[in-house]
Amino acid sequence: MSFSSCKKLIEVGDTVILYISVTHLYAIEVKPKIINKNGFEIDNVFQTRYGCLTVADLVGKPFGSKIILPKGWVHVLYPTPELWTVTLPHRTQILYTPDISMVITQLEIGPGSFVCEAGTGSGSLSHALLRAIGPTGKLHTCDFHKERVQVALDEFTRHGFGDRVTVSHRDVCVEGLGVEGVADAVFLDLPKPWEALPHAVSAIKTDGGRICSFSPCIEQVCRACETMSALGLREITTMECLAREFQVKYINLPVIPDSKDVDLEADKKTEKFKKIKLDNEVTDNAEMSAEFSTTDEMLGEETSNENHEAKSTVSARPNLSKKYKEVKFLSGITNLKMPGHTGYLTFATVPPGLRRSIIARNCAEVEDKLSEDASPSDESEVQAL
Amino acid sequence: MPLSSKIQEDLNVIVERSTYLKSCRIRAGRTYTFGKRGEGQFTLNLDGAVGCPYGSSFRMERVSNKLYNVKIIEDNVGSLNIVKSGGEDNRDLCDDGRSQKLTPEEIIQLKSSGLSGKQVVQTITENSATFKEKTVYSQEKYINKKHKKYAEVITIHKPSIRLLSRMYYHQDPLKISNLRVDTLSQLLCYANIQPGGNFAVFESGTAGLVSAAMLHRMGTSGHLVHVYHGNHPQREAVDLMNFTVPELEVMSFINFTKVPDIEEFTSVENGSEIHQDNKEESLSREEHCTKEVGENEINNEASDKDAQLGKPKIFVRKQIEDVQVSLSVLQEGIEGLVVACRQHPVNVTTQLLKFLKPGNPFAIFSPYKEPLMELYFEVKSQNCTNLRLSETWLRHYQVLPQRTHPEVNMSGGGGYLLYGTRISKE
Repeated sequence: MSFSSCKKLIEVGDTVILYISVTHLYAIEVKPKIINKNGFEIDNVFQTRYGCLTVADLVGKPFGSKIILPKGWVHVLYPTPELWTVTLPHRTQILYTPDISMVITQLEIGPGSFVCEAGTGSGSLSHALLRAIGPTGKLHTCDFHKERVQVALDEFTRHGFGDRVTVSHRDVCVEGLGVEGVADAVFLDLPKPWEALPHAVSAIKTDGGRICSFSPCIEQVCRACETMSALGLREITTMECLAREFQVKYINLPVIPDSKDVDLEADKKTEKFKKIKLDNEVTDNAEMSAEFSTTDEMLGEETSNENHEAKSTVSARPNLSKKYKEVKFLSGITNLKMPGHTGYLTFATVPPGLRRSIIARNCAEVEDKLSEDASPSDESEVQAL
Repeated sequence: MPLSSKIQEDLNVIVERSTYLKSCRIRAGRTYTFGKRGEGQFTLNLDGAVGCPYGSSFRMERVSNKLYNVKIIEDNVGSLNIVKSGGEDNRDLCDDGRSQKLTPEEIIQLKSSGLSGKQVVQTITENSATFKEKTVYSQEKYINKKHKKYAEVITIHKPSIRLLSRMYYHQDPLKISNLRVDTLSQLLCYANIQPGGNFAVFESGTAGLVSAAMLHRMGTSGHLVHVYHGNHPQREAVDLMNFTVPELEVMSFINFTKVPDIEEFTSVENGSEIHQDNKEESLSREEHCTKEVGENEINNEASDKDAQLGKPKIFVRKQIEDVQVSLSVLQEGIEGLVVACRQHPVNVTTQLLKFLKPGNPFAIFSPYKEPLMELYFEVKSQNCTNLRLSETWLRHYQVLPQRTHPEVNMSGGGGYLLYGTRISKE
């Protein structure tokens, strides 16, 4: 019962986020005992690089607490859909926060909204939708995989969203979403969204609403847009968004001296100074060539208590001077790799009073036309990921 | 959310004509001018729209030179069906600016002679010497371009955050400090904004769009403390959203100078001992929501008439009451903090972070990266962790059969976000 309540203290049954470092976060269900693979009940212990954490110790602690472990410490964070997205167990490829946040804004979802989702997948987007609709809204989510449906429903219930959600086992392309004329918004993440679009439209209220289709492949996007147009949808827009993270660090760069600056006596002094600086440089480089994230974590752990000292060291070293052999500056460094592509987001509006009978007719016409145009090999190229 | 899905008098709407968006408040008998001075400007009497559903499209019917009435279009067919057949490529097409036989004056004449938009476009294409030789795609592009200029169809939308964001960004991104829609969306998610719970926002230089977005996500439950700088808070976007009184009551205002140092409150961790409303604090968000919705239902019966007249008050409380409510919410502690300012965010953030309950998230927007880099170390010393600094890359696509590609123009940047979680020292 933890996501949707503003609790201060951790209780049994809560899902909490264990923060070890910027690349190591874990979601834990606070159960003092678990069943091991032999069927025996044992103490729930979670292994970390700083030692093992007895999960029962978390009960009664406030969120945000520092938990001391044998070789270090970790922090317990309040579960949010964003933290859940980066810690949840993947059953399928998931949506991440940049796409999720755009979907919620573009579909105009707010408290009280009725939203349909197909497919549920691993529930990443679902959690954000459940937060956005609030206790007065409804999420109707469908998946054609029986086990995923059950796992998702269990998760939603454990996280306190049971009242807001219905999880349905169905193939929406064939059977439709299961609701008609009630939804404010429909989200489709399917291999063949064009087959589900007419059903999506009939699920939307007669006053109109918004539809989104998320597809990794451009061919899927093309086909979906054609169908949307044929169905009479408006404001059809396709976009892509990618987030780029920066590592914030102080950088020391050596300055190659001008030949004119060479001064014998000053040189001797600077040689000594240079040697000390070079040693620092070597350490900095070693840190930098290791994973950026670990460096940041090291920096973080060192400086979280000693930040004042770190700051004063910085101010002691002036930035630019002809006499000094290096420059120190604050930089936002990009990672060596970044997420390149997740999928294309296509949004469209269902205008008010769009006649549903037209949908069936138009859809059949479009499908006929598309199957005439397409060569037999086209079908197999559009594959689910 | 407005009570009705039909266009009403005295509420704001967003008028769309192809890519042009503008908000206005509908009042019977009044006319509204849209567009920049010159050819593109047009004046509308929107009386014909009242009572029609939001999202409907209307045909502009000429009354006089630049004034139009609007009439709802029953069955809006998208394509114009002017393209019949075309050439192979543009090797023989000479772009000497003399393909169009009609002079600009003659085209203006066509428009004012009462021809429909479609007919004007048809006449223009018939008088183009090179039209038949263009490829069919080129023809379609040409027609769409003319259609955008001469078509007389508008759509009237209910105001929403995505439309307001698009409108501001299109008019002048600097009016909202370059806060692009994707960055705004992430701000809301990373700070865990939702119905129920206490939240705080400091906003300046973004026309009230951030608090409007947060208010929309909170509905009628929870508390949003809007901290501002200067004489009055920015709330242009808030006023455009047609929020009802219960929705506006969620937000309280307090000047930044009135926000006390944390020492002046008894410490936040001990807040529950000092705070009078112990029972309120122990309610979960859900219980809070249903409790408040219940109360609102009772109130709504009495004030239904007022609400239906649809004129929300701008400030639902006196300033003194606002300050009191804000102080008491801050004292309880907040579940999420948003800072979006065009000034340097350091003082505001460090001051307001103290009210953020440990374990809970915050998100800070700046149009510049450097202030957030400096802030990164500041917040770290304020016991914050899981810190990330990011920007988003956003690209739109043109999707047409055989002509799908990313759009030629793209936004250069949408601002930067610093987000993370506050934790306890011990």
